[in-house]
Amino acid sequence: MSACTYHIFHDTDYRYFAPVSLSQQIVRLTPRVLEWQEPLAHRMVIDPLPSKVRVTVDSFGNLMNYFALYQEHQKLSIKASSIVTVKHRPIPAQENLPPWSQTVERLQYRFARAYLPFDLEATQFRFESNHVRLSPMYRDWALECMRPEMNVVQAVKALQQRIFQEFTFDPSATTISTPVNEVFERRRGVCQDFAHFMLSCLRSVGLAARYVSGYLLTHPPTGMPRLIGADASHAWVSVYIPDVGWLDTDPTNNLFPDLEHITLCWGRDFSDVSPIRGMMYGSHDHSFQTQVTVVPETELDQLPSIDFAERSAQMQQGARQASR
Amino acid sequence: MSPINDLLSHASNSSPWPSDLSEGGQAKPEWQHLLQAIRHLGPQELQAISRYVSENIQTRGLIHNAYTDPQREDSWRELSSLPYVISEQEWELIEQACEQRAILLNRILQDIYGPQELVRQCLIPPSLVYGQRGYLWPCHNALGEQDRYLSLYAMDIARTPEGQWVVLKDRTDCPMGIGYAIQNRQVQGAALVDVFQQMNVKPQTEFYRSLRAQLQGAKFAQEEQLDQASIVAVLLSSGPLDPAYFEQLFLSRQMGITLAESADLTVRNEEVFLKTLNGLQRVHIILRYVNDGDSDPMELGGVDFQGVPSLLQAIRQRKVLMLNALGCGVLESAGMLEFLPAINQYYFEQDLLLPSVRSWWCGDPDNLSYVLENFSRLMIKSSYASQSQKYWYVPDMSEVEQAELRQRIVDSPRTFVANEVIQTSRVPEFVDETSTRLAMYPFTLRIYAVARPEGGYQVMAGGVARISSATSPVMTLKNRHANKDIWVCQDCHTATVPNLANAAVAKPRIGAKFSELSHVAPLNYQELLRRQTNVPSRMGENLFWLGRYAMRIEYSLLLLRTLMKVLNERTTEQDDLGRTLYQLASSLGILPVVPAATSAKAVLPFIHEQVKRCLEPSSAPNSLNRNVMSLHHCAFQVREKLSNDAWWLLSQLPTWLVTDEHNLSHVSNQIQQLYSASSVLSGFTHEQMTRDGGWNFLLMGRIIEKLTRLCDTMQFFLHSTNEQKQDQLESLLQIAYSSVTYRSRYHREAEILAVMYLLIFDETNPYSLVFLARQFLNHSTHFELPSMSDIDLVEQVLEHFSLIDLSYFDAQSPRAQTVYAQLAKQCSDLSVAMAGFTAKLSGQYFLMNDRVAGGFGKDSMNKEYL
Repeated sequence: MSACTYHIFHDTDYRYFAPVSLSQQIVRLTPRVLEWQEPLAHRMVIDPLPSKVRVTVDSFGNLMNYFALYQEHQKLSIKASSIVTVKHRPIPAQENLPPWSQTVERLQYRFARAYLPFDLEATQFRFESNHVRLSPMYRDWALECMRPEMNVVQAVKALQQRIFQEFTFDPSATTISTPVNEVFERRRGVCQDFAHFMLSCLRSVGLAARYVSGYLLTHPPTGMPRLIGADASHAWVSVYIPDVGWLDTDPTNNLFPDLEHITLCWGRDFSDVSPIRGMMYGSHDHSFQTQVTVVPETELDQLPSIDFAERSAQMQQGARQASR
Repeated sequence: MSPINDLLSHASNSSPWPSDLSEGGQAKPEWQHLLQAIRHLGPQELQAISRYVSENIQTRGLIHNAYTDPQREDSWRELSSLPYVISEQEWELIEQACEQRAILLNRILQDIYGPQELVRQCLIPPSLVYGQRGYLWPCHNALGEQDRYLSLYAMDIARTPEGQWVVLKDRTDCPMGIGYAIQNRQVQGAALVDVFQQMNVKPQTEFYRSLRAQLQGAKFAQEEQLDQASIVAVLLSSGPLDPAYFEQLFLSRQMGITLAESADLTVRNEEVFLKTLNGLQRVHIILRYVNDGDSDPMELGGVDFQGVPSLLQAIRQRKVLMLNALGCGVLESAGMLEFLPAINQYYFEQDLLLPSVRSWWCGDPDNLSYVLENFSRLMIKSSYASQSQKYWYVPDMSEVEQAELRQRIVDSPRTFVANEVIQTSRVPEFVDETSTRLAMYPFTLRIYAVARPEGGYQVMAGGVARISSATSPVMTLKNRHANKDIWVCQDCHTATVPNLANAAVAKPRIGAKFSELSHVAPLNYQELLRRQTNVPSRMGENLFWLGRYAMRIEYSLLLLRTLMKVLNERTTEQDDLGRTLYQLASSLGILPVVPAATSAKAVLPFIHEQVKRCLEPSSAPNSLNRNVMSLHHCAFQVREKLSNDAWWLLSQLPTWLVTDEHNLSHVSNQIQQLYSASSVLSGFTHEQMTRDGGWNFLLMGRIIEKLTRLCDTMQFFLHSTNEQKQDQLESLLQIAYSSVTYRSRYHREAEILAVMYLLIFDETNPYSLVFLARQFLNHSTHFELPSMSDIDLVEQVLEHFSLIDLSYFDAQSPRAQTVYAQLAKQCSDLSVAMAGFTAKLSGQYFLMNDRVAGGFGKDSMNKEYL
């Protein structure tokens, strides 16, 4: 199989304990257009209807939906739906790749050199950021498996594998504010933590690496139907290889993403790409619920919800009108 | 004695002139002139100058900060009696260099927030841009490439003993000290007014004219097709907890613009508004004194989500102009200095007019090895411009510390910069405030530049000279000694300076009227009108609560005072009354409730103990202590509306809450002090304040609180048994501050009908319910609320009062109970109306001010799991 089309439904519902009089939100839930990824349709429905909407592109090229609500409300629902075709992406040919230390050297600053445009873009992702720390501790840990004779693909694979083997997936171990040092200490966490930890390692040794947000297709147990809202957002890492491009790596699942990873956005870490980020005035507390459903197009008819089928139909109709 | 002091003591003139004040072996004429003028003053006159300076610094209000921790030294505080003088010729170079640097730094900002050519060509290491927290990615391409980033700039410079000026630091985020420069000029120019005139000091008019032009935003108005007269500028302040607040307040007043905090601004429809008591007012220009990273919590994160949500979105849509643009702070990095000469060559093919202090960014391998070799004589700094300006002066460090630091540099070279430590030239300054003896002290200058509307930068003719008392070459906050005004002397040619032996230099006059600040244009009529409208909502809210807390405290004090008197008398009868009054106090939350399990015997000791401790923090929700602190907090938020006298009193209030003695007479003495103070304070706030929108809120707060307290008290009274009622009458009069009225009117012991009449119906008693309810109704016309239901309720209550017939009242008859019940119902209705009115008032005028909900701001997403 060299391509696969998915229908994705990402719904978030907020309930406020007191009326909210002003709410401003930034949403990053639109899949990127990539060489290996073609978004066919995309639709975002916000209820209540926002007073102001603006779609812009952020500094990393992600589509950013900015909206504001000036009327009083006690509920807010954001429903993003997308149809995306993901194509096979081969792992870069390794015959001509130099040892990875040469990759590092190429990205390093040297007086009176000039960067090639892609190299320059990659250097953005070589430094500390909100959730990523640089330290000899991470460097040394990474160097234990990233041996000098390896090329960058081999080195990344080794690191990815080591994280997968030595870290335990444990949703109860961390929260969004758990620092990466603590993740390293306890060797536990979820995809976000592993991504931030892997970024810390890669940048500590001098490579350029970015955080990728998106979705992963999950497989229901054999014989069981696909469930609505059973999926979740996912996060992984992408490493820069000069003259080749970016290589995605998923330390949570120990694989190089291919047909089952759908890319939303990228940035230096989670804080650059948080799916919904906002401020509101009024209520001091709220509850919320997120539901993500990823369905291959071929299984669409097996979906137990009419609502989703309708949303797909609407999206496709919208896309046809747009292309006409 | 040093040669400088010889000068002052009329001793020999043959001592060598200090080389710091010479040029090419010749004494600098401006210093000669200044010192010679000083020489003619006796010790008393010198002290008079010094006294004049320090008194003026106090009264101008810029320095006086009653709230800031006195332990926290403000390095800008002290002003010397002597200015720093410099000839116009020498100044010219500094001036040109300052403008050159501002142009260069602005050009760099345009590049790194745009095409990033400098990084691509390695003229700046990527680490010093992308690696800095101060580099704000969301601001990339937020402005056009031609837009100005840097509007205000300051550079710190020092002079080497050889006479070479060297730049120590560039200040590009929100440079502090312009307010101080204005103030210092006003005070120091006046202190030595004749010397000031003789030395023909260059005026600073041009600088302020340019700054004013920036704030008037002609170009912005033109580009955005707005009427220039409608342009509104505010100074965005970091708030009263920042020591810099008072400078910001002073500067905003000098510039005639509103001082706003982040919470006063809101973004609607991509435009920025000031929340005023008259509704939202559009803001076009923001003079920013908040760190750029703390300006928009939506996109920039920042500390505790300070800032104005969506501000960046408004900037992108060009609806608001920031001075300086967000993101400028990144150039304050010490690592940048080394790269500036090459960048200036790249853009302008020119050398920098003044060199920077030599520095080595350790991310370059050659630099790193140099730094490690010469480690022991360098100063090490972080490469990253951040709030904590950390540095290490290696010669002062122990060997262990040195080894540790070396290791850190080797581990993470990119994050460190080394500086050469330079010897700085020195200037004369009095040894301390009261002394007439001079000594030589090292100094640095801070020079300011503001963008000119037509392009380029206008450099202030002067600035702030900062004197250090330290012997070590490191200037820190701790060893700062004093500031000086900088006088650029226009004709101090050697020829015009009288011979040292010649006593022809006139004696300086002290503190004569000084009118150099001609840059302050008189207000025109439109401006006059505009001044009256911009009361930020935050101000109204705090004034409202200031009124409420003040009355609540007064009431609590009256109640406590009465209770103490009763407890002091210690008769059985009085003990019962004491219990009743204590119950009243605890029901109002002033004192803790008697625990249910307390045995009958233990109640009275418990009461005595609690009353003795009534000044201390307690579990009671409305304790005196808590209310005094809340009052203080509210008053502090509206600091600029209060006189210094009112402030002084306010700062005294908490001192009366402290007591080591737990006996009734001592505590009651403290209560008396507090009561007097709070009465005086009421007088201040009541009589002295401007009758603007804010005042209406203050008065409303007072009325509502007074009415509520009286209603609660009357309800308590009316619900008590007949016997208790009789006992309470006297106390009730005291609590409602009506004893004097009662006694002078009726000349007899308290009787129930008379007391009730006085406290409820008597329209001439300012403490009667009817009087207060009418006052409330009159004053409520100042507010426009969506619903009148509470006002209607108050009117109904007044009507009911008028229907209650007291002509056949007999306390002994059963009918009396009906009257009590009727009255209690009306009191309860009044309380309900006050609470309802307060809620509507907040909703209408303050809610825009509601805090950003906790926890939601950071990342609204909880963690999502795979």
